[in-house]
Amino acid sequence: MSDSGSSPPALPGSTELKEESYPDSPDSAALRVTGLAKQYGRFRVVDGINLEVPRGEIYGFLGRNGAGKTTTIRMLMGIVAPTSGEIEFFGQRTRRTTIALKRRIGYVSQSQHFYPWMSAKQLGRFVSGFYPNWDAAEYTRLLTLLEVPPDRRSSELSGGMRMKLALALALAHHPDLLILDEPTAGLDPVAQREFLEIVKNQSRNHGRTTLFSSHRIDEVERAADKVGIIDNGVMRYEGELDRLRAEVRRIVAVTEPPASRPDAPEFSPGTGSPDAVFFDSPSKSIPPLPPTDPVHPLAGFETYELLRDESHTSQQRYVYRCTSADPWSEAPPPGWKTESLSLEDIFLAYAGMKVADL
Amino acid sequence: MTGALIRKELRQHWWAFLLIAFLSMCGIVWVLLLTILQDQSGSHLFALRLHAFLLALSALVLGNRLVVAEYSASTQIFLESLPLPRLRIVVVKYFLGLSILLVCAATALGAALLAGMRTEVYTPRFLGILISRYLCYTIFVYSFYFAMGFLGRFRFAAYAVIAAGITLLVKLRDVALHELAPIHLIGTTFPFEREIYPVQSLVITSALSLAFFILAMILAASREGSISTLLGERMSYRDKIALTSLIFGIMVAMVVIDEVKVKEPYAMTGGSSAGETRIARVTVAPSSENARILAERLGKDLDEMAGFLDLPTLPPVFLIERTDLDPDQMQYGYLEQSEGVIIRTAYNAEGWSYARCLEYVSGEIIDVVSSGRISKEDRFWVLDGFTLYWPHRDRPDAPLDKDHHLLLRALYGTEILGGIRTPVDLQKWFSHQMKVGHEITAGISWSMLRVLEKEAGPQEARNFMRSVLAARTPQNALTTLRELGDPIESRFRRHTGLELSSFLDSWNFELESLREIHASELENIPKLHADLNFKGEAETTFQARYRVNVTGSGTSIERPVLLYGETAPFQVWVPEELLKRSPLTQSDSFEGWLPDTWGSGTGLAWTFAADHPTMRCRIISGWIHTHVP
Repeated sequence: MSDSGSSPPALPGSTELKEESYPDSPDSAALRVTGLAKQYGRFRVVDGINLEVPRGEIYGFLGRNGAGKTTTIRMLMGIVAPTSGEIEFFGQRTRRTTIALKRRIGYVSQSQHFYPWMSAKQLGRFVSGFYPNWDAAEYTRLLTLLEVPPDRRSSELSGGMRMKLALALALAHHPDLLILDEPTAGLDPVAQREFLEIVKNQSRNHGRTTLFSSHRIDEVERAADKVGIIDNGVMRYEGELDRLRAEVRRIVAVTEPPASRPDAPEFSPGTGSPDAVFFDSPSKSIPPLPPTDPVHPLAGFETYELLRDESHTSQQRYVYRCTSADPWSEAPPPGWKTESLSLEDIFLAYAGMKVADL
Repeated sequence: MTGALIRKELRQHWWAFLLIAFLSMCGIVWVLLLTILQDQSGSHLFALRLHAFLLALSALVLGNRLVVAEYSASTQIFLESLPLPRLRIVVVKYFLGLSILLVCAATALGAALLAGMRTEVYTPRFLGILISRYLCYTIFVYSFYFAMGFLGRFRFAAYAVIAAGITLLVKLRDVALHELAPIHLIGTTFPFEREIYPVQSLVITSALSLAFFILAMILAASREGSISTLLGERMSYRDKIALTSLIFGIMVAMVVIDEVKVKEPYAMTGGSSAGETRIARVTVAPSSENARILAERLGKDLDEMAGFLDLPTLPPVFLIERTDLDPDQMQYGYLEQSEGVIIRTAYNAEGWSYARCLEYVSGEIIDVVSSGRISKEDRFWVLDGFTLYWPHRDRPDAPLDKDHHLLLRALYGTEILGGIRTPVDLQKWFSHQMKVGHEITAGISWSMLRVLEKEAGPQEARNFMRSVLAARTPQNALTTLRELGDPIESRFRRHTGLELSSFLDSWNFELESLREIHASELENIPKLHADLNFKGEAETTFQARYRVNVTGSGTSIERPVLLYGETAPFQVWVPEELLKRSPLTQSDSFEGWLPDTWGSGTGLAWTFAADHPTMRCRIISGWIHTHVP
């Protein structure tokens, strides 16, 4: 943890911060979002999401293209007004991000729209006018560290360089919270790795709270402490990565498919499981497990969530999430086996991707 | 925050600001130059109107740079990511550009006021009126272009629609644009109105400025700026096609509107009117018994002409007496907003000819009916001939010699011109007029129409004349296209059944046989010659010395005169009302100085002219267009 727990000190002679001043709550999360929604006409882009970014942690905001990540971030940055919901920065609730709050945030957008005629040095000078606690020495240090040529025009910089320049601009005013919108999109693997290392170092060495969005599971897995998975504007999962890995498993039939067994009894996975939640197809029942085990397989679950029905493939498979102790993990029903999933598989299950079993 | 934005704008658009400063400086130099050169427009402050145009140009550049450049490059997205309210970006841009433009306007105004100090009397009220008019106009033009900038790639479409709207307003409602705010603020009264504030124009212009400012704000803020961002994107091919279609559609709409538009007849109070129940409505002023008789006679003849040409309506005719004109002079008065033919002439003067008046009036009426299209060179011969054909209409089989003076004109004119033998010669009618004068060319084409009547038949000749003279066609591109597909030659063939070239052969044959009969008479018609030399009076002013002589003068000429007038660039004709006359004492050969002096480079058109009593018309030495060295 670093200075994220306190408001940045106003520079001598600065009047800009007088507009709005927010007392900080040291125990609060760096960012908390409740029921945040954005609607364009009839189309609900973000549908009442909740998320919480603890101080000093790196939060991976995972979702497919068009899932609503950028809109959420633009709402957090005050660029887009939310239709409903609340945002809480450092314990201070607000409907829309104010100028004073924006000054405590470092933001790197998905694509960089710098003035093409400005060099990195000129951009720093320009941006410094909007941040009372701008640290010119830190900016120069960051440019050197990130190997961004200070006198070259931004139009002459490569995509990776521009992203690094954006990061330098976002960090030079010592933000309490760093928000990065798909920062590695379009970067080559080396640049991606470099960028992630910088973000991790910022968290490790400076205790910088970071929220970064991505559709790449590997980089979220590599860098994030906490993850939020958004799909079609709905937050599907939010929590620790390890917990997610432990809770989500796949059960796979090891015998022939049930279609050849018309006498098999049918049952609903919801039966006897009051906390069960169905996402993909609530009315759909899990096809029967092998008749050798007539016992209701879901009876032992306290909470059960069917994430993905892969029964259409030649091998029956279901991805499920059990937030309590999973009776199948140790003793799956006869003819079935359970297996752990990679974060990528979990993400694909949440994202509802259909993969034919070749 | 604001300072950083202003510094960024100044750094980003420094060359545009320099360009605007340069334009403004040019305007100021122009103002001072006119002051030094003693502008003849009545006030030194008049030059500010040119500067007002430069201000509009500067506002266009500013709006384009400050708004369009930002949104088309999407750099506003970068600005919006900074801790900066979106509307502050717009407000800073607006007031920065406006300040620059106001400084330019104020500097020009100050320079003009200083320059005019020696000749103008400034009262606080006059200064207040001047300043409020000029600055209010400046704020308007800037606000307009600033708001249009937020329309991004669709601003051109907006300009086209606005221009079309204004044109429609002017055309359909006959609105005088210069009397409307905001143009009125810098209109013709701008440097002269010393007492009355144009409150209405000031209020309307201010309201419009505010409306455009609000529009800019709405466009910038609506849907979190996504609308202006979308509009700011560069034009796709589809957009370009749509824009082109829109502009083309507007042009077509203009043409259609122009076709359906009917001007209100000109209303004149006083004068004797006749023909209220007929097609021709003639008013002769001032009112008198003589005027009433003239109106009746002219109305009757024009009625018959309308019947002959099958014209359902005729524009009203107004004949106004001008005693200072020569009896043979007719001056045409142009009516912009209403329909009608106004002619000034000395109809009570001795020597005034009704026949000549009818010739002139019928020609002008047909010109108005055709929206000026009859004045195209390839068909003007038909009108030229008709103006004589109609007043002297006769039986088709009547010999040409019956109108002896007209026949002589035809013979004399074709002799000087070296003959008119092919349809191409007919397409050089204005050149023929320049060489022999329009009364002689009218005689030539009169003889053509008469011969046509005999060759093709009276009804066929009438049909051809109708097709050329009585077509109520608007003056626009569509008509031009239509006429390209139906040239005079094909109309001639269609209505008369004759080829124009073979008809010209027949006509020439008849004319040659008549020439032999009238050879001795023709020999007696004099030919006029003249030349003009310039002599420097001072370094830049010149006087003209003429030398004229008359050859083959068996019969005498009357009222020899040198006609001359200054011509504007690309202008060949001098309007009748601007033509100067220098009467000469009658002699076969004489020379002298013209009473005027001209500056170097002045365009001048001149001819030696005299009346010929037998032909009852003016003969000329030929119009010469020259420049003072």
